Amino acid sequence: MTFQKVVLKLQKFWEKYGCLIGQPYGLEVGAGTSNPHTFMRVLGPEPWNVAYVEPSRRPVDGRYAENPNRLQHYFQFQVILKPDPGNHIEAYLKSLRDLGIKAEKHDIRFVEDNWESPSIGAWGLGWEVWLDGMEITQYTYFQQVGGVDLDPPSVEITYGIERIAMYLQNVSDIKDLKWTKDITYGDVYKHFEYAHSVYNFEAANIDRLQEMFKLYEQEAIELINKGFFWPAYDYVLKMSHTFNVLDARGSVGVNERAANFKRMRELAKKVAYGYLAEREKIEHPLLKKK
Amino acid sequence: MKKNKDNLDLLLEIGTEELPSNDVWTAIEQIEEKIPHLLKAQDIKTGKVYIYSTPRRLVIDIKKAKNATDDQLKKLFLSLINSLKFEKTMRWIPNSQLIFSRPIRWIVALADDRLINIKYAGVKSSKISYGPRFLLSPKIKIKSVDDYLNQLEKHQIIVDHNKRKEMILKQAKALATKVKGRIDDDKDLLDEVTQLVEYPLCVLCEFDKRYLKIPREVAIMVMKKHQRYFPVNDSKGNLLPYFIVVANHLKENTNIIKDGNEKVVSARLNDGEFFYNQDKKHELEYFRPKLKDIVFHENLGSVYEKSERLEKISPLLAKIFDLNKKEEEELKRAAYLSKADLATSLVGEFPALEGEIGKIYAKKDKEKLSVAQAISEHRLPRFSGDKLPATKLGQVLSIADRIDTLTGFFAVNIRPSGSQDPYALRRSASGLAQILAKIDQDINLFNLFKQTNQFLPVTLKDKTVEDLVNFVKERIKADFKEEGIQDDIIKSVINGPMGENIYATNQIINELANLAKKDQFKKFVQAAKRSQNITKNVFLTEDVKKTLLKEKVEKELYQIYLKTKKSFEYFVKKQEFKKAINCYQDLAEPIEKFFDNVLVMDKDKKFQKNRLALLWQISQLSNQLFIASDLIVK
Repeated sequence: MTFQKVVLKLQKFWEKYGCLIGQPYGLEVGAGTSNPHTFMRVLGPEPWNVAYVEPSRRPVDGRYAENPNRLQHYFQFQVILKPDPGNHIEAYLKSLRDLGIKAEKHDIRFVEDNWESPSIGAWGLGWEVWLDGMEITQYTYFQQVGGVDLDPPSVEITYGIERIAMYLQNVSDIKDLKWTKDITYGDVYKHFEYAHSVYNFEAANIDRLQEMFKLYEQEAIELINKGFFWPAYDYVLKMSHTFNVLDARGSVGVNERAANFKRMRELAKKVAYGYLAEREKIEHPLLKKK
Repeated sequence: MKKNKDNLDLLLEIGTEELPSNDVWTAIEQIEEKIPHLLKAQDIKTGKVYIYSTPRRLVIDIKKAKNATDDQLKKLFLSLINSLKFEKTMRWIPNSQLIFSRPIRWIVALADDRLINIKYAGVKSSKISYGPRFLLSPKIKIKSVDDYLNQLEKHQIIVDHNKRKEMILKQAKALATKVKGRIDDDKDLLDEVTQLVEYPLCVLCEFDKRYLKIPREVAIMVMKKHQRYFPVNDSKGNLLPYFIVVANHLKENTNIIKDGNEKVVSARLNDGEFFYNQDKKHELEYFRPKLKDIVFHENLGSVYEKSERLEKISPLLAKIFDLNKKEEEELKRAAYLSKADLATSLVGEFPALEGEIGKIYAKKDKEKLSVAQAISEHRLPRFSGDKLPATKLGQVLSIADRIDTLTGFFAVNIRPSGSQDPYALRRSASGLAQILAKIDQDINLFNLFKQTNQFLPVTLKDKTVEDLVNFVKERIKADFKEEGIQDDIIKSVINGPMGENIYATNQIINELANLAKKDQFKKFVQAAKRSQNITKNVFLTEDVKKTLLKEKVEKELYQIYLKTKKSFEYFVKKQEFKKAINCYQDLAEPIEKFFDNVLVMDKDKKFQKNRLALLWQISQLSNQLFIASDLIVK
């Protein structure tokens, strides 16, 4: 099954399940969680069921396109179910079946893995899903986002689609993954990966990025003070990505990391409150749609 | 209320989504502990109680419940579910604050073959249980309590965790033997995997021999911590290129499971090998300058500067901790190299191995063994309950690191507040205190901070040092409290004259806490309190005049005091507090007698003064160890 087919099958499955099929956000994010489809929509009482692909960037994971399993830019397939429909694990296992992974032939396990994102003040409890020892999915019951208790809590399912596709195609190097019949993942991303790895680890200008981090922060603060939380959120994401590049560049100490997370978390919190206030003001329109 | 027949068998199955294995074990402990009370609360007498568990179910099987009404049974079941507490909990139901470890999805509640109707977490009890995940959880109809275990086993679920544990051990040992190997006796891992499966199937897998060349710690970490596999050793304890997976499955698809797991491990080990090979090109020292790029804190410089400070305070600490010249040189070297592994690729990939990798690389570079050991130990303790450094050098280097962190952050006015402690200063302080408590030396905390902060890029005021001392004392209090030691004992010592000598503080608190479990504690405390109370306004005293001691009991007391004082002070000086406290106990009885038979406030001022002088001197003994007035006699 080609990589694109995996995406299409999952989209089709969750569309049938009743999800809105969303799109990536269009900024550098570390995970699908940062897309407002998740970060914002899990806040407040309104129901929200969505599935989308998110290109995700983890600068520290870059390996110059040499490592068979690691990339600094990869794709997540993200599903949010709010409120908890109760039967989602069965649904999830059925979605794997649509991809050709039959649970009865494999060792599929749900192993405790609690998720926390200190930069956006979010956490939840859940599992990583193992397919014969390989982690293929992150499964989380969100409890807090932006420091706000979620009611109702949402279910987040994050598929690692490259891993699943590699498994299905029985290839051991991500670059050999068939994106289409003729074109491989490596054809599309090899040079991109290499260039970004060089940038993240060697070329990124530390002083300038530190300056940018501060500038983005100032912009975010000013926007929040003016009440523009949507654009403010974009700058929080830019802070986060800038921080991650600095981290990959090896210029963030343990202590500095904690302090920066705190700065970003404070802002994410304010954005979350901004969103909640706005939804409240327009009387939670999605509550009325069913 | 309608009475049921005598001797009902009861069953409660709480069906959940996969519980973390730790939560299953703590739930079992709680049920064992609570069930007698809960049965008593409902006034139900029973025969044996069996507790079973899998990741997806907590099961209580109660035999021969007598004279229980349905109402009592409902209350029993509900109170049982409701009594379970977990360290980390979650909500999943809209508009509800109900919490559990993971969502509850079904409940089976039976008395013999009859359904007991209860509702919890929005779930109504029924006679339907659910089968294994890998069969998409088919419904299992349970006819009666008797039927339960059989039905589940028929559906490939072994509910008895002890049985699963035995199965795993037996299978794993047999597989290891096949390749002339053996598995570690690792209780934690076995406990964990037992609660990761409902039907255990051990599978022997292999990895490429060449990965045996990377540091053993890395391979072990990948297998045990990341993948929960059992590594296989030869009879000498050398790693073999095999591991054992405990899968949740039946036999038929072993090959698929084997292939999958082998791929995962070889990818991970391949990563490890890649980083190890990168690091291997250099000596540990090579990585030091790279620490300049790692910020410790913007006002306290980089990690490189931190490691320089550790090196600079080494001679000072060597003096304070009585190290000889050779040890001092080794400490300096270890301090110099202590942080270098932070810049290696392998620590970048496996951060939990910080220190450990430093040690391995230092050994490879032919550094002294004591230096290598100190590098790995200076990280300890990393978390509450972690092991402490075992060598003197490791202790002192860990102390150095913690002093630098604590004085540094306090100097730039960063202190934990409420739940906010982003730099983990509480953990640092607690670790520092734990190590000092192990070093039998009279070391004053205030002086320790005061003498070692001169290399910080910021100045540390005396007032800040005082704050820091109090901060550490607060951690000591909190740690003792967590151990279950009474507040009054902790306070009386830590606020007393020995409060800044951490070794003494620990010894005295522990000894008092021990004594508090015994009968003589009451007399001991009373003696100390009374002699202190009555003399608390006595400032200037003269020596006790032997000629003015007229009663027999006061003469006796004086004699015993003189004898006790000598040995007491000898032991205090030698920091043998257990013995000192033992000596002091000799005074308890005579003091009690004295108060019972002698009027201290004699009308004749010269007798009064002399008796107060005697008591004052006695009070000066206990005052060297603790504040008697803080102690409470129960």
